[in-house]
Amino acid sequence: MQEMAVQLVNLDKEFEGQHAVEKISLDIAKGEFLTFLGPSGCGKTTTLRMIAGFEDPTSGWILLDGKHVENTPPYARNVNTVFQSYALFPHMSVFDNVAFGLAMKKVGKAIIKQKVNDALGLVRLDGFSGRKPNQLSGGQRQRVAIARALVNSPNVLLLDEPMGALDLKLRKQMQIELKRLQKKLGITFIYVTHDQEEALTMSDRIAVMNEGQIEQVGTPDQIYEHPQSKFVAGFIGETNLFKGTVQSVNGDYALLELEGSRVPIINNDLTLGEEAFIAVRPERIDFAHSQQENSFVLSGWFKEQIYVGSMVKSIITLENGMEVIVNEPVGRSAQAVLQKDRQRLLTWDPKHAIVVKDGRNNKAYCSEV
Amino acid sequence: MKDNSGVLTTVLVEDSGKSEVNSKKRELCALISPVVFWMVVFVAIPLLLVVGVSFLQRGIYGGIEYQVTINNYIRMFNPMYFRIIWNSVVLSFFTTIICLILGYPFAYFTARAPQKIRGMLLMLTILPYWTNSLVRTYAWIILLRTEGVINTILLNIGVITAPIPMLYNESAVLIGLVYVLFPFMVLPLYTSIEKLDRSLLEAASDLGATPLKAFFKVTLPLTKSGILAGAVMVFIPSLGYFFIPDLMGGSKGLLISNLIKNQFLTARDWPFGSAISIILIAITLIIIFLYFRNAGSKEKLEVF
Ligand SMILES: Nc1ncnc2c1ncn2[C@@H]1O[C@H](COP(=O)(O)OP(=O)(O)OP(=O)(O)O)[C@@H](O)[C@H]1O
Ligand SMILES: [Mg+2]
Repeated sequence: MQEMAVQLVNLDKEFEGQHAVEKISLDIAKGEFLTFLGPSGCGKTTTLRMIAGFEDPTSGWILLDGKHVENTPPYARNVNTVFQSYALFPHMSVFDNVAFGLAMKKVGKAIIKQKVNDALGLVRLDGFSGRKPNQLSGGQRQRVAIARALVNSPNVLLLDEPMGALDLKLRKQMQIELKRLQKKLGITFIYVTHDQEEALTMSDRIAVMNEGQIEQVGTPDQIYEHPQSKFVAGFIGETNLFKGTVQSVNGDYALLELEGSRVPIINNDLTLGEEAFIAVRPERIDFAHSQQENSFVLSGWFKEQIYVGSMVKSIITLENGMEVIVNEPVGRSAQAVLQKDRQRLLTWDPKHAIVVKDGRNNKAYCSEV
Repeated sequence: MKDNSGVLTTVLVEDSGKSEVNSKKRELCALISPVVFWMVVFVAIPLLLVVGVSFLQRGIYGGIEYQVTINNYIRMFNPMYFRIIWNSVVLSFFTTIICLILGYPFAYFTARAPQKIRGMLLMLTILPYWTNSLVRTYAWIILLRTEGVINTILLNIGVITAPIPMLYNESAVLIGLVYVLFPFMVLPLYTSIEKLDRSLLEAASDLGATPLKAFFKVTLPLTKSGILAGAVMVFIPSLGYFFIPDLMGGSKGLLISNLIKNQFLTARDWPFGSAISIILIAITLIIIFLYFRNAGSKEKLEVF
């Protein structure tokens, strides 16, 4: 069995009777890069604060390195945090801020100097060590906060939106640097971000949170390609969510009655007559030429077309008013300017239609890394 | 041609800038003129009178003789007066230190108390100061004197056999001064501690600092301005509170404040009293100067 760096067991936190975090259970392996992803106020920061020790769980446990930490104060946990609000010491220079953790551990002066300078180099702040935090820009402060936590090379690093204030280019560079460093030092990263792309590219696993609960945990691929709830499907990337009724179930396949068409889907514990949702990514939908060539088609009317980078995004309105988004690579799209309200036929490969549940209550975990 | 027009616009722009500055200045004058009036009538004129009198001579039966002299200052170069000044400064210093030691924890817990209790605690600190300080000083005398409350209780329960002399010595003066000046220490301390961002203490703890270390590395340096402000606000008035040493200190250790009072009321030597006052003002100004230099920029000053 793999060694676990952090284990959350039925972790629960209430503020004045309101659940901020609700019965979270999650094992995070040593050296893993786990990202919490979820809308604002869903309990990400609260979860990190409990792991760091600033907040006592209302119920449930946290284990660090296999040991219970209920009675371990924050300063005795081998965990460091990059705070969402930075929390830099305003009376200390950048150097002293970054050196603080090492000085507390009574590391020698020469080593401190070396390590601090390395850390500042990593976040591209060489030459800033003499400044005070109020002489830095927001993004520079954020990078000092990253360096201040990173320099201690803790077992577990908690990063609460550590790059929110950085510009895109710097952000990309830092993502690569952080990931490289994390691999090299084998630090367990618990990361919070609102940037889905960041989460998908950096993480080993993603935990999607909603209203204090974990909706799904899995690899970026699992989360993206196989969302298990409506919420996850809708939150991660763009998706089209269709609602239909199960018409027939036949072994591995089922047929879903959808807009007057019978759409084959993969059978996922479905029962006859049940309402089911399927999520189809915009890039998985194709335009069909005729009914005959395909197992099914949905008919709709072309509304508009938007160029997004190398993609053409078309919006098709179905009979019931639902807007379906279809993405095509620029080269493949119909070159001719389409007339508004022209009829278009939609189809997709059944294996790309993901059956999703309604959410919260029927959660399923993919716990393998 | 181009250059010329450039110069012209610059001149125009500068001109309009100037008139704007002028109107701003006028506004500022209007704004501060009442303050200036107040300062002149109630501070500058009395001060100039004191300075003037300090260079005159004492009349034979008290009063002032209009003859310019610097004798009043020369008279002060006397070890006796030096000792008085020194004693006063030492006493004020200890008053400040004790106020700080008692006031810091008090301000700390007040600032950290739940929001609801906080206001009440502050109120309780200030409340006694709405009664006259002379009255409160007499209350202390009732507590401390030989047949006072404390001695009577201690005698009755048999802890002591003879009353302890608690009044009319230096510690009595110290108690009185600390008592009267305590809130002047607590309020600036409270302000600076309350303003301290708690997430900084979390960050310190996160980085491995025990609460004690976090206090010395984060809390204390970040509340330095409050400590300085409190110290100045205790030290300066403690030099001038003559009635406390008068009432509680007996006749033994003379302080600069009593010396001044005696010159005006007992010895009726106004010119000499004025000269000592000027010295006291000078000491005060030096302290304030040091304070401003230490506190650095204005934003760090923390007088309420
Ligand atoms: N100290 C507190 N007292 C009361 N409620 C709190 C407290 N801290 C957090 N909450 C509530 O708990 C919920 C979760 O907050 P949390 O800070 O964990 O959200 P988050 O997922 O980090 O959001 P964001 O992405 O905006 O940072 C929110 O509804 C918040 O209002
Ligand atoms: Mg947060």
